[in-house]
Amino acid sequence: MKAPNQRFTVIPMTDPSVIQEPAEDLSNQAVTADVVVGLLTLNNAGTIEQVVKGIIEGLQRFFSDASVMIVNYDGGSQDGTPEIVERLAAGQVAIRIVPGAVGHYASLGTDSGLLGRSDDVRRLCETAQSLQAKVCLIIEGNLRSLSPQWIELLGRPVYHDGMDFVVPLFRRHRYEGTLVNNLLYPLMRALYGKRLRYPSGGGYGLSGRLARELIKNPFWSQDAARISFDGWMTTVALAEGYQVCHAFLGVKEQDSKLGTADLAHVLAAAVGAVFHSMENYEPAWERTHESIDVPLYGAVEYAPLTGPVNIARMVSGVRQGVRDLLPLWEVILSPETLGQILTLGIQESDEFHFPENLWVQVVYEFALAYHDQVLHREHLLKSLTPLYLGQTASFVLDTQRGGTEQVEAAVESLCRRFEAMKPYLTDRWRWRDE
Amino acid sequence: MSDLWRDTMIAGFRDAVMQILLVLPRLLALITFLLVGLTMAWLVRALTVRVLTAFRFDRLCERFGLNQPLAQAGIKQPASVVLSRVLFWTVFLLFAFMGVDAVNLPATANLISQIVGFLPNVLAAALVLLLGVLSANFFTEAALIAAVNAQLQEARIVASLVRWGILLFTFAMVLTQLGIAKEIVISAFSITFGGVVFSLALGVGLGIRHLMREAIERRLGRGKEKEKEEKIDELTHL
Repeated sequence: MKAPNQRFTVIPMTDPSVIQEPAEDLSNQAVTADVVVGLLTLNNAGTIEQVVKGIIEGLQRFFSDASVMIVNYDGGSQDGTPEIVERLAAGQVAIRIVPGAVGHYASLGTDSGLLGRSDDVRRLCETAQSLQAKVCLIIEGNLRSLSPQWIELLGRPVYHDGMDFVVPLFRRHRYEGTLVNNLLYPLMRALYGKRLRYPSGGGYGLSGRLARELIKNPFWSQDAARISFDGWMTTVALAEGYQVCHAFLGVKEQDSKLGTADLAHVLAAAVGAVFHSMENYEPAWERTHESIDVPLYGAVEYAPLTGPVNIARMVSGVRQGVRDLLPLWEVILSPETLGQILTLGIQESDEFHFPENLWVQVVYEFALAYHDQVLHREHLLKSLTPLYLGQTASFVLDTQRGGTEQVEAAVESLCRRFEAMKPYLTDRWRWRDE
Repeated sequence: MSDLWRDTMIAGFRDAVMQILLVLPRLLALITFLLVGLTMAWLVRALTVRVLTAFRFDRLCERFGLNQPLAQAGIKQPASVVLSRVLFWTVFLLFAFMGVDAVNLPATANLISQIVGFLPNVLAAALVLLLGVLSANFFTEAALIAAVNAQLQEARIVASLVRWGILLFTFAMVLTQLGIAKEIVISAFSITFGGVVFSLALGVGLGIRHLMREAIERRLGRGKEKEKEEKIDELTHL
């Protein structure tokens, strides 16, 4: 259904160009699109103009030979966001506005801060399937720094190079994403054997193949997908053996993220999603013994560190954890690990050191305890927060005199430790299942 | 004289034999009830242990934090053993009461019907107690973790207040359900609960008024500058 002489192909729509109906109804129409952009919005009037312009320009510049469509999944904006999207896209690109079918409301429990976001992505995947899309881009409407190049970097690896999942990397300073560096990335890498950083939202590129896999995935409705959709999607791509890669997108600026309000909530959501997926993909991670690099599009840059890191507060958090949470940790951790944790409580702030081995043991034992359900799972995950603060304090103290290279070396060392100690996890996991 | 003495003796002996003959079957019934009760109780205990083990009841109790209060109460056995023992004694006592009822003593007349009539109250009270203890454990754990993560130095005190608040409420409900000193319990609970709330209000009003002021200012958006000053951390986690 492409118009042959058009440089940039707009899918002929029946009438009007903006249709406010569930995108699933597309299956009844003979419409196809090579590239589908799913734009997730909720009260983003302040940023949406730049986002939509960036998307349209990106599509026109880098996908000029493809048929494209933007599908706006709006969670019930009160500030006229869908109208702005409609106005900007009219006549430029096929657009569909899909109002939120489920009641969206702010939630501290999800990493996007929006409940129902996973449902929107599911409907986007269904739309992509109906349109027989080759590329499916997920873009968040609260971005202030989206440029047309983002569309190229997220879409090109899929459209031209056969990738299935593109995870963005952003220009960050060395202590941004400490939960990713100290826990999520090393754990995911040890489990699934791909050196793919845990995603931090903003935008993704998916192949039509992966979109179809996500739709039929039986675990979609479970906690992992509901609470941390980004982590779950990444896990599915890794565990099911899809081609994954990184794309460096530069600076990421966005309006405040609701989901980052409280560290314990963020940690419980992100780590809980990984632990939860471990149960679903046990055969996949048990047979993985080493990790390999993934392709990178663009050159990674780091931002300079502009302010201090409050180490004393983190160490104080560990001390209090050792003092007050011991009865809970006794249930979760082995006596040997607990014995070593106790010594953390008496260390001075300046010389605080959390041994790598001990941290890996702690994470693996928390994963085992989560599997065994020895405590209410949310309590278990949140009780990891003081120990994570301890690891972060130790990580900063060990690397603060060096530069970004030293931080990267420390992360690499930790990842290798996670990989080397993986039998510690697999042996106990099997033993407990017997 | 001798005839009278003989008749009296015979009548006394005959009455005694008659009494014994009347009581003996009741005693036999009592012994039978006790033996059957023992057997049934033993069977129920064995069956309970098997079923609870199959359903990993002890692990569930550990997960819901039931083992901790049991240990604190000096009960070292797993919850499945405790429950099976409770059921053992319940079944045995039921049969024992039937036996006592069968003896038909004036002092124990209608004992079983009274017990059966009171049983729903006991069951309801036990359920309330179980739910109360479970809720107390759950919310104590949640409060403790939240307070520690907020680096509140009084985390354990907060958790204890939550635990004892819920337990106090539970015990009051249990005693009311059992009908034990209803009026006294309600009055005592009202006085204690009111006292605690008043003390807290006074404490908040006098002790942490600065914190409350800051919190309200922050809520109203006036404390943003101050918050910025306090936030001297460049760290982001995700």
